[in-house]
Amino acid sequence: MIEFHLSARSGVSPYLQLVQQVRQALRLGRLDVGDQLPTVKDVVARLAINPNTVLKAYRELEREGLVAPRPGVGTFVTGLPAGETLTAHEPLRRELRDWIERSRAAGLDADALEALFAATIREVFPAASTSEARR
Amino acid sequence: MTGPVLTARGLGKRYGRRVALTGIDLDVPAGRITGLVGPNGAGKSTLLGLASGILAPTEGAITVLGARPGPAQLPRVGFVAQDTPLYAGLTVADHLRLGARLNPRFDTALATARITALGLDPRQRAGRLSGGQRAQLALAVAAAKRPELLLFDEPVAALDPLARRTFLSSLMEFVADLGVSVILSSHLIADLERVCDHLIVLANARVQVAGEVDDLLEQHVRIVGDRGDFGALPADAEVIQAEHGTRQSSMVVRAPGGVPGAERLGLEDLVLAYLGRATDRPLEVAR
Amino acid sequence: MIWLTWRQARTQTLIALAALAVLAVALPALGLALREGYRVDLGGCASCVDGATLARFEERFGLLLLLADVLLLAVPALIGLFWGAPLIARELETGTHRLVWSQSITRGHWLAVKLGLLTLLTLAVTGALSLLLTWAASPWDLIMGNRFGALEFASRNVVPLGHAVFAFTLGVTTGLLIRRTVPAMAVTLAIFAVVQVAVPFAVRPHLRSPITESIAFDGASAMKYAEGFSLNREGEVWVEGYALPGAWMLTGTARLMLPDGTAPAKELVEACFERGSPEEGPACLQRLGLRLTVSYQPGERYWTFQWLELAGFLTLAAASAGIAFWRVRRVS
Repeated sequence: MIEFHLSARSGVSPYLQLVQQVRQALRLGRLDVGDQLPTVKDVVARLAINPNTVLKAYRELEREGLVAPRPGVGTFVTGLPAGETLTAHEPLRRELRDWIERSRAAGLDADALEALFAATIREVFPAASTSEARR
Repeated sequence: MTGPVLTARGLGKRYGRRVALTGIDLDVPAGRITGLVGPNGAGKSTLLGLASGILAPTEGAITVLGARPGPAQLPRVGFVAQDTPLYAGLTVADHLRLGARLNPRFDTALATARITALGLDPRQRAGRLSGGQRAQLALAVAAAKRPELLLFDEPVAALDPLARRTFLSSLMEFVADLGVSVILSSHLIADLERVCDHLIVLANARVQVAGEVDDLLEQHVRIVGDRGDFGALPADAEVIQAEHGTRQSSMVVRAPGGVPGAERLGLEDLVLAYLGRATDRPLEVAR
Repeated sequence: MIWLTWRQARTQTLIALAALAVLAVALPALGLALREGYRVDLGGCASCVDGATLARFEERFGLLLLLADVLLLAVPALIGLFWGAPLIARELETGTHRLVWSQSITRGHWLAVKLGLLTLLTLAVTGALSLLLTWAASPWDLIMGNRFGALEFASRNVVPLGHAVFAFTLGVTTGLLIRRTVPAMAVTLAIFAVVQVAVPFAVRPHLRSPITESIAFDGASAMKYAEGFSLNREGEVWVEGYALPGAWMLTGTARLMLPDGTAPAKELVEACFERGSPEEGPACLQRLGLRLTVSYQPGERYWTFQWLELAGFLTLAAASAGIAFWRVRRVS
């Protein structure tokens, strides 16, 4: 079963962190269809967060068709993220790796790379990143 | 319970000539965990005291769960006062018994389960418990009352970080179990940031800002620009705080419609901006 | 609430019961010794023995009875100090009132149960002690005929109940007003001490208007009631300590006057005093037709006074409790 964790410094809202962690676990194959998500009470007790936050994250995952509640039992994985898992993008990953190697050769360290990466993502997905951060 | 759990209209409280609260207007919706944040002496305890019925207002009106705080409200509201008062000479089990004897809907099984889960010895005297254990016992007694609204006055202020986390975990479990609305105060937003989805910032006896955490985060931005040059702000924008350095200026702005290109604000920075503004504009004490 | 009150008062109740158990042995022992002494030393008749025998008897038991009287006087004060004053003040001091007031009972209910149960305990403890001492001391009281004495009156029958209930509620109310245990105890003690002193001297004598009576000075027989008489330089004759049996004398000394209220001639009086023998002086004064005026509360009013004082103290206690109920709704 997935173990959630929260980072206070990430600047991403707790609800979104939970959603992202489930999506990532699905993409990386750590969660599969039929697996159960922890109950709201378990998550709440473990992370000391508002139950509404967990409910909201689970509702969002449900809306995306990734999970479904079974009344009285719990919430279960019912689907995988739209498109494919990350393994399907091996060529992209290789290209990125090449690019990172070149950047390092050009004298950029990890911090600089992350900043550059984040800034570029914001440039390409301006609307998507804000709407996701909101809801 | 779908209406607000707490409403205040022009609410105020004076102690002699000292104004503890004045002109408070609030609507706290049901099903929320509300953080009541402000510096020490801002009036947080007074507001919670008024909500619990332990204090009576000197002006305005307060409604809790649709009625004025009073005897009929007692079973519906759980209140844990500051420093979690307990009877030092009574044991843990005695406190649960006290709860069972003095409350019509007291859920002894729930309280006992919690005490057992925490590993508290029922025969231990409350006076010998650690701060964290005291807070947990007070929470168990208040929650097992099965109220519709739980009020906590600075529940974690005296606790070490681990005990804080454990306390908040317990509280959140109770909330998940009982679906109770909660208002808890702290002088540090960081203590409550994880748990609250509704926020009231109190300073200088007044509400500085109140609302859903998500809405607040969405409506507030920081704008950084060359000194004195911020371009045109949207018509509905309100400057909460402005800081001018030698070259750059930075402003925290409340703009319900958003400001293009502006940077989002963390909850802590948001609260600090309002507290900073309150310090710049102290309350003129009525004589 | 009854359970909580009992749980909080458990220790003090057990202490009180332990003390009561000791006294439930000591006071009957004193009573039996007193009866034995009365039967053996005095031969069952106090007026039949000479002054020296009676004095020995008084010496033997006087101090013990004085101690018992003082104890009965102290018990209400102790109850006020150690049960009354901390009852609410300790809760306010430690903040536990905010725990108990956020349960589902009203403050009025809370105060009523606490006040009610401990008042009952106060009545039980004081009542038992008063009963024990009243029985133990009854032969003594009969011999001394001083039931109206400041100590004796306040330590027998129903009056101690009034004192104790008043002291308790006084302590409770003081604690509620002052909010701190030790200062509340000090103030309770001060107020109660003032009341304890003021009542026998300033209030009790006036519970009923005293009987004022002019009595013919009948020489030798009058002297049985008096401690003595004296003549001063102005020629005034004063009878000292004239006491009617069982009555509470409010006049300590009374001047002998003629029936028409005028003073007898100095020479006539002085002439009586010049006769040597103790019997002839009073007889001479009797022949002058002198009278003395005394005011007193007759012995048959004893129970009226007991009930009146009980009622008075219970009224004070009720007033004090009323203040407490009014105040508790306003405390934060």
